Amino acid sequence: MGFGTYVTARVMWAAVVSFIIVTITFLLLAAAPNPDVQRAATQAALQGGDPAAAAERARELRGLNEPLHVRYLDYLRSVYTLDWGWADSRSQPVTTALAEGLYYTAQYSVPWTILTILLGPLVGVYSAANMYSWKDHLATGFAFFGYAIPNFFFGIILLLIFGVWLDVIPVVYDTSVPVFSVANAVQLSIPVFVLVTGSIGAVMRVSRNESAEFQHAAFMKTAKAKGVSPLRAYAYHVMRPTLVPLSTTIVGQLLALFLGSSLLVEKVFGIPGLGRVTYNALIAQDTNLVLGATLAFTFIAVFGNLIEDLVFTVLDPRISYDDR
Amino acid sequence: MTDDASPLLAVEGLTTTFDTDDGQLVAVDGIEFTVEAGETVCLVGESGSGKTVATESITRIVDSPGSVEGSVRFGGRDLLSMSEPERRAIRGYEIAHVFQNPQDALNHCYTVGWQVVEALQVHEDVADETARSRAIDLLDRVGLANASTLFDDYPHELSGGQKQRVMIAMALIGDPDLLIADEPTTALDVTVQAQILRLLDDLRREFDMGILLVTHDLGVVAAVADRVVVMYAGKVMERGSVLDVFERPAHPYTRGLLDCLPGVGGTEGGIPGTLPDPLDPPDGCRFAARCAYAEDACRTGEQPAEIKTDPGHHASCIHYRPDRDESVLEDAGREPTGSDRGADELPNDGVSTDD
Repeated sequence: MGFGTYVTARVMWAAVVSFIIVTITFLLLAAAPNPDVQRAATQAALQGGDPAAAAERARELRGLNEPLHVRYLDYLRSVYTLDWGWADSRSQPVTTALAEGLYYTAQYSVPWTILTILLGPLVGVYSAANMYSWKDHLATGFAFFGYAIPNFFFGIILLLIFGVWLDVIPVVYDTSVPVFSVANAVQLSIPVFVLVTGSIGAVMRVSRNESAEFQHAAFMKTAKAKGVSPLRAYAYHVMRPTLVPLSTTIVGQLLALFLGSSLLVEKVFGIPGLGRVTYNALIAQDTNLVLGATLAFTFIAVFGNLIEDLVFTVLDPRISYDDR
Repeated sequence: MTDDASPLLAVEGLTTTFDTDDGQLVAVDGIEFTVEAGETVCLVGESGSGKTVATESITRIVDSPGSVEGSVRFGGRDLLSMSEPERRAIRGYEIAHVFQNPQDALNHCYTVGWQVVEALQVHEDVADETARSRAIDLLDRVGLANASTLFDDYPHELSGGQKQRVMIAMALIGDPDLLIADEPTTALDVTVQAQILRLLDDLRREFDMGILLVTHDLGVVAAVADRVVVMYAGKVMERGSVLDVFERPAHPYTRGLLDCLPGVGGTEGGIPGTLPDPLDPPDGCRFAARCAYAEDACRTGEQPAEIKTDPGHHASCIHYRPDRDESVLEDAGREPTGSDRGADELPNDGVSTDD
């Protein structure tokens, strides 16, 4: 099987996975009571009407009286045509609400991802090259610190220091500043720092331990005997094989943080990103928006894993495209 | 002490020490030998005698806790006193290495062609296409079929023998004056071993380079060597031309080694005993504890200084001192029984080593 076939097969698997998740989401949603219907019934009861009739009308209005399979097909069509419904709590389409959230999430996620991918392996390999020196211990201490401290707590502490005491960043994220401006970079630096410390720890540890093995490999002696400089030897002969197992860690760490901690960090720093949109939708019981956010995170996770699989095969030529 | 005016490689007083948790480990202890241009010198000795460390000390590629002292003169320059960048310019370009195990010696993430070309491009500013065609020429020259397609293969797609040929091509692409081959055939099939050795010998002639070949296979030595250096426990026991060493082995250790050859010595069991502890080497001759001819004088002081037994043939054994009678070695060695030593301690008894 060639690389093209492999990629096609992998993409199709990703589609199947997302389809399964979409189906499970639908079933959960169908089993749960609809807040709109409940609200209509409550409203009717308060105004002296018949709550049962009002509930029935509300169900009819939203097509909930249709058979399950019809609703399922309708739902599927909506999901894949990006017709994700109306976000009542924000009075705008769900896709628009998510796009607005993504606009702010991307502003800190892109620098955060780039910094993690660049700095994590570099510091890890540097650590391995200077193993058990004070530099290594410093990096290791930093890695464990970032790994151990909860992001939202670390965020609050830094916000207290830099937002309240030193007053260098706004306590609540200022959406009025242009995206590419110094003010925006400054106010995003602390949330990005918090997230980088959270994700870089595992990346540093894995790259340090993997490269510690490769820097003593026989092919490093070959490289040395060829007259390759230490810098080049580390850049080519240690970094490259290290990136293979590391790609799994990087994607896993970034996704886990993106789906979990970024929500908390957005809440702490008041960034109106995807996490905050989801959080507010949950509070407001805006089912459509919660569903939309769930699907968005699902697709991001599936896409991330797809990228990881593809990167893996590109990085390690020994992984064959067969049997998978 | 060199036999020629200016040999290609002259190693003198080479000492390599590793600082370990248990103390100073002197892996190579003041050894001396030379390699002339275009000749093959074999470094022989049993496992753990410091052969590999000795070869890696020449271009100073020993692993990090190792410290190298002494003098290694290569083409009039001292490799040990020059700066690391200067040494790097020589490694892989003027002095190339081929290692014991080709399975791990290539990086699994890069094509073999990339790795061969790297050896050239770190030294010369060569265009990619030129480097590629030179590499393919060499891959073809070292006996790899379909060199142009193999160039883009990854190491895991090659057999052990093919990988070792790639390693040889990689070593030769800089047209080195000296090739250091550290047991290049040990990890390979017996049938492939002979091919690789023949290839090295052909290439030596074609490229007019000196070869320092590490081996513990005396059959290989007999086949390819011009001169032999016998190492034991970090010291040189004997060195000389292959004819001298095989015909008139001087040091008792060399005699013991030759006796181990099937069909030559005909003895079972080899040399009794094991190598001394490298962290705490014994006084006197390193081999004394296993030597059938050792006397009290062998067990005190330093390793005996090298003594010329023939022109260009040296041995580190006190029995060759002018004030001593070296025939004691012959007598004791030839005596079937009747000595005060037990037969089990002396399996060499009654066996002639030089006929």
